[in-house]
Amino acid sequence: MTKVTPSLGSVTLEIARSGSGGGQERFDVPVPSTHARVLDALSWVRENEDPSLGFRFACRVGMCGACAVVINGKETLACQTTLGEIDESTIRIEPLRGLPVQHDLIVDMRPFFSNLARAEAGLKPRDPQSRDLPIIAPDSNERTTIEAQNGCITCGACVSAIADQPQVDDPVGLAALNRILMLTLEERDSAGATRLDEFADEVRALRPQSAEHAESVCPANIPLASALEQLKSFVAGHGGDS
Amino acid sequence: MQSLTCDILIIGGGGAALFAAIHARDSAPNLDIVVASKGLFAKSGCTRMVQGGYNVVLHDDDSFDKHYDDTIRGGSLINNQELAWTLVTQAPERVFEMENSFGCTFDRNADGTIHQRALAGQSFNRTIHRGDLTGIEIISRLAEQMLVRDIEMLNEVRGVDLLLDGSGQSVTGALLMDQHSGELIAVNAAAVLVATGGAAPLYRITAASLEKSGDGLAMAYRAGAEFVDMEMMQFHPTGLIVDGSLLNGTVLEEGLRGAGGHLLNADHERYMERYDPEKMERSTRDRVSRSGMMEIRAGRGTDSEGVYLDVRHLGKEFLLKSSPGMYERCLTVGTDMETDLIEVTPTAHFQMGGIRIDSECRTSLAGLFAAGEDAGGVHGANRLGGNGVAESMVFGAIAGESMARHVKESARPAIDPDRLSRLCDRLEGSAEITGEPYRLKNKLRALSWEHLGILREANGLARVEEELNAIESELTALPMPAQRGGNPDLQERLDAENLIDVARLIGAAASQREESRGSHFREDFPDSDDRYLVNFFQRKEADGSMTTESRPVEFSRRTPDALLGETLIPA
Ligand SMILES: Cc1cc2nc3c(=O)[nH]c(=O)nc-3n(C[C@H](O)[C@H](O)[C@H](O)COP(=O)(O)OP(=O)(O)OC[C@H]3O[C@@H](n4cnc5c(N)ncnc54)[C@H](O)[C@@H]3O)c2cc1C
Ligand code: SF4
Repeated sequence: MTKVTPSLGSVTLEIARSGSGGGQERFDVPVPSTHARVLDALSWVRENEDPSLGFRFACRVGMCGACAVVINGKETLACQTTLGEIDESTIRIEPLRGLPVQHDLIVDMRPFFSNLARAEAGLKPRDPQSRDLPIIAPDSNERTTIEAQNGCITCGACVSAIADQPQVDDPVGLAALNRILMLTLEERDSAGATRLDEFADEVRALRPQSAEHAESVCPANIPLASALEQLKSFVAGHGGDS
Repeated sequence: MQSLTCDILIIGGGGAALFAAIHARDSAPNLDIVVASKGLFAKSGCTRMVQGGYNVVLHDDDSFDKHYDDTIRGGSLINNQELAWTLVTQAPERVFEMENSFGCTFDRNADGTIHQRALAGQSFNRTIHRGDLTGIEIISRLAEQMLVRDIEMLNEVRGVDLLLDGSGQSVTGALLMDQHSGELIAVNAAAVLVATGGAAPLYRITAASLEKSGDGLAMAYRAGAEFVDMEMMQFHPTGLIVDGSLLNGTVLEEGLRGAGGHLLNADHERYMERYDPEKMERSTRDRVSRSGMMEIRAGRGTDSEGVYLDVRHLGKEFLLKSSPGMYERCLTVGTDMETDLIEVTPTAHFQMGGIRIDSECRTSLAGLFAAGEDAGGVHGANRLGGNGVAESMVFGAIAGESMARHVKESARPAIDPDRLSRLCDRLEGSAEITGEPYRLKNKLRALSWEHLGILREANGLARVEEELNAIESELTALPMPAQRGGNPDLQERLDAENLIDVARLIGAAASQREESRGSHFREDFPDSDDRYLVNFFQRKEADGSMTTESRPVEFSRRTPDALLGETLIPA
């Protein structure tokens, strides 16, 4: 991997504010080091210019997905985006779309979590009392798929990415559908494909291009397009042998 | 102010908190449970950041005794022996549950059996893991189980202080603050769990999730709970250096050292030869961190005050297979593990000390429970890699069940209204937002790094005491803001206040332990001393002063003699 060293100077942030009047606010921020992130720039603003600026983060290493925002029109994690890698002269930062804004760049994630609950996106165990560890052959078809789809960090970027595209009313969303797919293939689960029944219309309605677009912004690189394809085949009644 | 009544209030949103909620619900489905988390539930805290894995005895050739002895030796003999035994013997139960009931999948061998490896200080390959980013799997599956159980969660609502009954002896709820609306919520609960994940972010350089600020510890301290082992703070030897970035100090997992990575100073010497020629880089965390710090202090560090981790000789194929997450992370700071040296620093990682609990997670105050990093005693003077997340799962589950029992057996005492109104009044104000708390918190973190960190000595510890008072006076002199909601500045202030309480506890215990043991190193007392086979217990007295008292370790299961002959035990 080649590394581009930007000249350390300053960058201009244009941050969407939710306070009185809303709108965008501009800040000139010094670039402290080659690898400084958009998150560092936000933190600089908070500590030096406006202590009331609202943004969310926790782990700072791309594992928690709390800092997902829209940067120059594209969903991404603020902690994983270096200032130097952005081409435009101004870095526009907005909250995720499709979720209610709580404070500046912070969106309310409750609808996102409610959708996971609605999808019953947790294992319904076949054998909860078992005190043996299941033998899980790592190379079975089901397991290979489950592994490929695993690793969602519930950041909400995929919701935001297709918020403006035609979908069913009140969609459960790709992150939840992806989890449904995993559980459908999961041998330890007792509910099998039944979770899908309620969301069959949504699976039919979702366009492959939407899933591809969502996949392109997913910070955990979850193959959402392939998830949708497999779900469509389940819904069409010939899933399970993919 | 809003009022809320429930049976069980859980403060925290990490592994211990969620496990407690799930077990409380499953063992007593009729109880009202409320979980309040400062960060988003399951998306904040360190459980999600777990890398190396979870220690558990599963193999026929391994045994509880082996895991136990490793744990006590790792803790330099001052662990609470009953808590450590609980950890070791309950760890498998939680793994069965995670795999069979929650659908966690840890890495498998080719034949489908579970894969186990060893982190430092272990005599057997007993760490289960999912690649080098194990925490995501654990916390994601726990979060789902919370959601499908429909347990009430208050997100980005922080615990501010515990509420007591009229006698001042029982905890009967907590005052919470919704960080978005600013609303104060007085919760009256029969049982309260603090699981807020310790205070590693007290230090300028830390691996932990940065919203943590020892809140649970400080709340419990102010309410009068007893603490143990507060001088014991673990520093991880290989925090990534990223100058001028919040990423600074984030951990590169121990597996890299275990697999044969070298540590070099600025002169490219493998300096561990000077400190532990036998184990070299595979020595325990405390020793490797200290050695790195000593090299840096001696002027043999890099320009960014670090040392180098060299894994180039392990080869790209191996690195990508064993540590793909770390490989990727280094690339994002422009370092390719295959060809470049990685600049690292010791980094504050995990708090061994905490609220004193018994094997049922009860604290010294009726109605108050603690679990996970907020609780003390399990790890003694040093935690083994892989025992931390196991602690959160094991004791989280115990706390959940124990609280459910407590609720059935005891009444819910009424809240002392005077204490409540004092606490609320303090949070009323009319001032503008200033930004000052950021400055003061940074100052506090620098001070702690310097004098309460890896290397300690009497003069520095005395200075800390004075400077803490100064920082505290500045903080308390700041007028309270008119706007509570959507005001990160106010959160920063409350964080800093809590960290000061924690720093005082650490400082007082560290001053009294005039020897070196595990992660506690006194430059003025560099050797271990058998007279300090004790634990320090601390609490706040009714007059507001702090007492620190030592009691001999109870060797209920192992005597020091039984563990002699091992290299970790100082002769
Ligand atoms: C980078 C890293 C890697 C690690 N790797 C390993 C490993 O491989 N193996 C291992 O065994 N251990 C590891 N650990 C340690 C492990 O993460 C901890 O032992 C464990 O996660 C602690 O769990 P917890 O539930 O006590 O706290 P946490 O998971 O830290 O959760 C604390 C929670 O409390 C919330 N909170 C804080 N203050 C308040 C408040 N005032 N009110 C309400 N909520 C509050 C936080 O937002 C958070 O949700 C690692 C730690 C780090 C930092
Ligand atoms: S699928 Fe990807 S984009 Fe969607 S929530 Fe999960 S991690 Fe984020």
